[in-house]
Amino acid sequence: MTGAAGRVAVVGVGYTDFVAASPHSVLELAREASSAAVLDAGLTATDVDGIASFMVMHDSVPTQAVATALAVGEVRFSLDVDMGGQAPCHLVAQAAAAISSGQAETVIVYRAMKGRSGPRVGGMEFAGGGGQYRYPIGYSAYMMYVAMWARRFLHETGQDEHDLGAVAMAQREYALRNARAFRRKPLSPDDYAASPMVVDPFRAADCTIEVDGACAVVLTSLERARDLRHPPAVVASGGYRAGPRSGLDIGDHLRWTDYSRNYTSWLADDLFRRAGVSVGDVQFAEIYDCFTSTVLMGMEGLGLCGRGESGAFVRSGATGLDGSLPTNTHGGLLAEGYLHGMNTVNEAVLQIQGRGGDRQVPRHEVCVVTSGAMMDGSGLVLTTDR
Amino acid sequence: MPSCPTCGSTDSRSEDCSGRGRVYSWIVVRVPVGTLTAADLPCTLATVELDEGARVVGRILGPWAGAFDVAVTARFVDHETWTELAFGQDEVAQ
Repeated sequence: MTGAAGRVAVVGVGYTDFVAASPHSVLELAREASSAAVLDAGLTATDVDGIASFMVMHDSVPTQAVATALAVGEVRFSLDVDMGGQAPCHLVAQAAAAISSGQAETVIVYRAMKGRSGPRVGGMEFAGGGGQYRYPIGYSAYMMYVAMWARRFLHETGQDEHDLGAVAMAQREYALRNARAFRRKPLSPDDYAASPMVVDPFRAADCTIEVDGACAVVLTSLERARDLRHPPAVVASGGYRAGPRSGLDIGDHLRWTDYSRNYTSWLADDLFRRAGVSVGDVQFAEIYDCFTSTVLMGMEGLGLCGRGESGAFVRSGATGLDGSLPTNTHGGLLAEGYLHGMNTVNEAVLQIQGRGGDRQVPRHEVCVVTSGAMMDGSGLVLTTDR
Repeated sequence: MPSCPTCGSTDSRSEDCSGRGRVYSWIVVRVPVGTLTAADLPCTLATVELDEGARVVGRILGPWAGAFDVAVTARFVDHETWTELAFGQDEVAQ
């Protein structure tokens, strides 16, 4: 894409605290984070005319409620999807499309949930009908599905559990620099080895930590973004991709032939081509990490490292703050907390804008972000205004 | 499925299969998550590629080698209102 016409940027981010048991309603969490994002951008609620979010079954509140709570006067774009972690980048891309096509000027994208004290996504029975084949036999939690893939992925790529552990340890280093992170104790190799096995091959340290909270971003046209408070995080490309026979619901993977490759293997070419960048241009990455294995699979699928090389790549320090490809710089969902990948987008924006604080990556002009773990998902390429 | 996920056709028929297959991947659940309670643990769940080509997930009952491509055979477990398709590892080491 060239020129400012039609181009869109993320201009603000907002968060609530991430806590174990929030005294607030999900609506209040959503309102707080969305309002913070609008304020962060230097805008007011009257500037907003679009809002998008996602929920799994009934674990959140609709955009209509949040728009009403924010006293948004004129809503021209509203999008609620029943989707899991595939949604955040997808919704940002839809918001950008709405803005560039003139449907709306300024759009909020949020995720709000009481994921720890309220309904927990990992154990829900999803709409779609696939659950009737899984739940009666106990195959009934998202952690189990991703673990089933992880074992085959490690086997086919010649890697093992040490490679999973490397991800958890590398990301914890970032969490130590992130006051928002829910897990902030150092994680040594001994700590990892002592972490209890929950769904073999996953230890507790391989799994995201559920929290109550919300976060949000605000998008507007690049032209307008240039007059706002922070440097624009330009949406260079965004998109969703499902591989063939992606199943009846977000946990139904019996028709997916290869558990060693997820949607990122299908998404990568579209995402980079539409952004006009090559994978070698990517300076840092925020990869969806409900579990450690999805980081390895995502890096290999996007081509950020070679097939079977992701574990060694992480162990080499490449994904650390001083490495060639800092990755999951907030500590990821593994350590910052499970805001279902929306916080992964927020972090990418902060880094592109140069607002990463103690964990700011040195080169922050081009990044890739992903949302999703298995058959389908979405991604973004975000850049500075260049 | 109301139709074929590869071609979309709504023509279908049932076929008996041998109940034999090989393990494509597996997990061992060690804590109560999802619908599993402490009494169900540890629970080994395997993705089995049936010799006829379809893939199913079932519990592994009895000894479990913990290896890829291990041959398994269907074992049916009757519950009050339904019959479960589970698998057991074949006795002869593969």
